[in-house]
Amino acid sequence: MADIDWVLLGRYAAGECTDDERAAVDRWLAASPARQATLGAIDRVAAQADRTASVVDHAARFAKLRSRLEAETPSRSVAWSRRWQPAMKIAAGVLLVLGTSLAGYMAFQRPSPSGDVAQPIVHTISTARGQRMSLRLGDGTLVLLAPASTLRFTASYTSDRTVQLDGEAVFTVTHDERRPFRVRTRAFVARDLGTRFVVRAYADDSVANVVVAEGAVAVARDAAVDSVVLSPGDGARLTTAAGVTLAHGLSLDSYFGWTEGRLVFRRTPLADAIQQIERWHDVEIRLASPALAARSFSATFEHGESAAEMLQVIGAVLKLDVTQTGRRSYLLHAQ
Amino acid sequence: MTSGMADDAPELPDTVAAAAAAGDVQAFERLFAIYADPLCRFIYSYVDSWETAEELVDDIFLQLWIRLRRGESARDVKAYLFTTARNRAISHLRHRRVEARHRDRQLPHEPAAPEHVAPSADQQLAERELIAALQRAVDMLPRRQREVVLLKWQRRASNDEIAQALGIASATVAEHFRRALQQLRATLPAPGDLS
Repeated sequence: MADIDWVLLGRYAAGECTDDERAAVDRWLAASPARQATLGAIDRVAAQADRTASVVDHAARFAKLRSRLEAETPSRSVAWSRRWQPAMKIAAGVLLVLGTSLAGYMAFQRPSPSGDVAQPIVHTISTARGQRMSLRLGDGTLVLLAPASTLRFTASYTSDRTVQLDGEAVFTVTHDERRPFRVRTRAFVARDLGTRFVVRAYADDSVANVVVAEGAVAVARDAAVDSVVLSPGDGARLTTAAGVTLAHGLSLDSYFGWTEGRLVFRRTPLADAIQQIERWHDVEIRLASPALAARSFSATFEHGESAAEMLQVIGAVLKLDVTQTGRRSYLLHAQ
Repeated sequence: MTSGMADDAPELPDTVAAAAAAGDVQAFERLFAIYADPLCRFIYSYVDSWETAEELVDDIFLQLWIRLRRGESARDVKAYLFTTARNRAISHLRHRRVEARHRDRQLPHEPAAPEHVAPSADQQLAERELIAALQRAVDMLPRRQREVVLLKWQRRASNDEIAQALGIASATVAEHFRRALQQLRATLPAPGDLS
């Protein structure tokens, strides 16, 4: 049998080995954790290709850096800024530069149904379950898109900056009085008043949330209706049954933790937690009894635990047994 | 504007750096456009935060600019960028670990699962180094090869599926994959030796 090298491991990770090769790699992997780490690295690089695929406008990012460069060499700065003006105009015109986002790439590949060039081009960026993505819109707004979410936006922000979201995302918006930034979901419209905030509005959830970390956000059922203004630590929760409820002094970590790789649950009903874990890890989790759905727990996951590891912890807290029923499916039942 | 990935023409970074050293901001921006994203992903492999990675990358370019303007050597700028990125990432991790220890002392411990033994800090770092090295090697592949490798690893997509998505022939996909893996074998240390 040939040596186990990156060529063979690469084919193994792509599912392209012969049975003999696969058996050899499996034996090789079983011998040490260090070897398994090589495969872990492949998985991780594959996973973070989307997570870190930035739809970044390099020109905009560099423009910010440029002022710091200039500060370092004051004597030349006048000459530079003159030389830079045409380039900056172009940069303003190029509102969005596509990075190498694979998920984005796939989405962009789909031809638009109309093919009409005169219409503003609507970009659609979607994450699959288990993926996240960070992207910067043409106006500088930073968006962190959670798994199983879709963001629609146009590449021109002449007077209005409105994006459409199905799913969950954190927005860091540079406020502009003349061009309000709006997030439209099925349940409500959120308008920034200078801000970092998270919106969770999955089409298949009965609840939609807006929570503010910095600045202020105005939330309304639709643009025509009076809005409620939220401050840092405030959240608005919209349900089809109960309408809008407001909460103050929320634990921001449980809403924003995921942007730093943490999943935080605070007195979260099991049903909600399961839905989140399913989206984050692309697994199926079932409950043996519907009565378990309402039981709540608190836990923080910081280190990229697998779904199985999370379920073990949750199981220990709620006294549940976890059974793996398939490669990516689990069953929780009372002990 | 091109995306941040160069097909890595070897002479490019250093000529661009030389122009930047002479005060050419546009040349410096080209350097930024080529390396900002690969460096972000490289650092992300260590720190797990895209925002932190972006901040560190900005700092690294600022530092490079200052060095170039001071007339320090512009040779092998790519190696310089990745070496600096690695140092910054590791020192960020150390810093964060110290903070976490400090925090732990103030907060009551959450009960850990008894059989769960946390890997040592050294082992964790070795794993991150491996991820970062692989990330860098993948980012330095020619664009098509990189796309093919990632699509295969991510989705286990077939040659035909990838061919359709990228608008190239199925045989070309297989060839890109073959070459990409050979390139990875040539650049990376043999697998399994975490050091």
